[in-house]
Amino acid sequence: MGEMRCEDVRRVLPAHLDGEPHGADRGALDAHLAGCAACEREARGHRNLLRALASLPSRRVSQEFDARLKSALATQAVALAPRAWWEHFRFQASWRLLPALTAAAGVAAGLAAWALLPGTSPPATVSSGDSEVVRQYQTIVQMHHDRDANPDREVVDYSIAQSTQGSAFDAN
Amino acid sequence: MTLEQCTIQPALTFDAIVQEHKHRIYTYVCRLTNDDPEAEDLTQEVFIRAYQSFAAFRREAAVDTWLYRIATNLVIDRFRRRRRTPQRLEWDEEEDLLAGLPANGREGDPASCAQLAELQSRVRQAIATLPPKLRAAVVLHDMEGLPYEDVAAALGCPVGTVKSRLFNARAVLKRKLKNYVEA
Repeated sequence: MGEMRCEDVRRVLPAHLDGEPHGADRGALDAHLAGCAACEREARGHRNLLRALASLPSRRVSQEFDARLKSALATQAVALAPRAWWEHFRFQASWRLLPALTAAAGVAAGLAAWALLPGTSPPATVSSGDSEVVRQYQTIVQMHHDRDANPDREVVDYSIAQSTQGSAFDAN
Repeated sequence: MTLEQCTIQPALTFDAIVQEHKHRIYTYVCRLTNDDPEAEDLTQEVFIRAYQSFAAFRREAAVDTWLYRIATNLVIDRFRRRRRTPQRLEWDEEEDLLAGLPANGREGDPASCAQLAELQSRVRQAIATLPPKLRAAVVLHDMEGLPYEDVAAALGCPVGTVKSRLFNARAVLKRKLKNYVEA
C-alpha cells in the first residue's frame, strides 16, 4: 500500500476520526499522520473539538415530568378513543353544519308562516288571459286528435267560437 | 387505546419507552434549544406525538432514532413558527481564557471546575450560533454519539447530507472555539 497525500488524508480524516468507514487504508493514514505535522495538527483540532462538545453534561427531566406527561397522555387517550355515532354527529353539527342548519331553519319558518297566515294564496304562475289561451290550445289539440282517430265523424265544437270572442287573441 | 394497550412487544410498553428515553430526549432538546426554559414542555410534546403515532410505529427504525426525529421536527417547527433565528452571541475570540484548559475538570479542584464551566458556556454559545439543521447534525453525532446512518434517519436526509452538515458545523465551531481547539 502506497503513501497517502495530504489532500487524500484531509478528505477522509473526519470519517476516520469519527470511526466511520471511509474506504482508505487505515494503516497508511495513521502512518501519514505520524509523519505529517500539518495533518496531525488538523487531527488534534478535530479531537479537541469533539472533547469540548463532550464536556457538556447530560440533563435530567424534573420529578414532575412523569406525572404531567401521564396526565397529558390520559387526555390524549380520551381524545383518541372511538366515539358513538351521535357524538360524532354532534361534533360535526356544532361546527360544520351550523350555517346550513340555520338556513334550513329560516326556510322552514318562512313556509310555516306562509301556510298559517290568513288570506295568503300561492302566487299566480300565469295570468288569467294566458290560462284562457292554454285552455283553447288544449281544446283544439283534442279536437284534432279526435278527428284523426275518427275521420268520418264531423266534430263541431261551439265552445271555441264562443270562448274566443273577447279573448286574449283579440286583445291586440 | 389505553397506555396498557400500547405495546410494540409484549414487554415493551409506551411507559417503558418513556422511562428509558426521557432524559436522553430532554438532553437533546436542551442542546438544540440552547437550554430553553420550555425544553421540558417540548420533551413532553415529543412523547405526546410519539404516543399519537405509536400504533403506526413498526420498528423499522430504532426507538431512539424515531424519538430523535420527532424531537428534531418539533424543534425546527418551533423555530420556524416563532421566526426566531439562533442567538448569535459574540465574544472576544482573541481572549486566551481557554488556552491550556484540561480536557476534563478534576473533581474538588475549584479552578478546574471554573475552567470547565467556562468551557461549557463557550460550547453552548458556539452551538447556539449554528442554524438548526447543522446544530441537529452535530448534536446527534458529536454529542449523542449516533453514527452517520442513524443521524440520517433521525433527520430524514441522506448520509451525504449529514457529512456535509457536520463539515460545515464543525468549521464554524472550530472558529468559535479556536483557542481551545488549537491548544
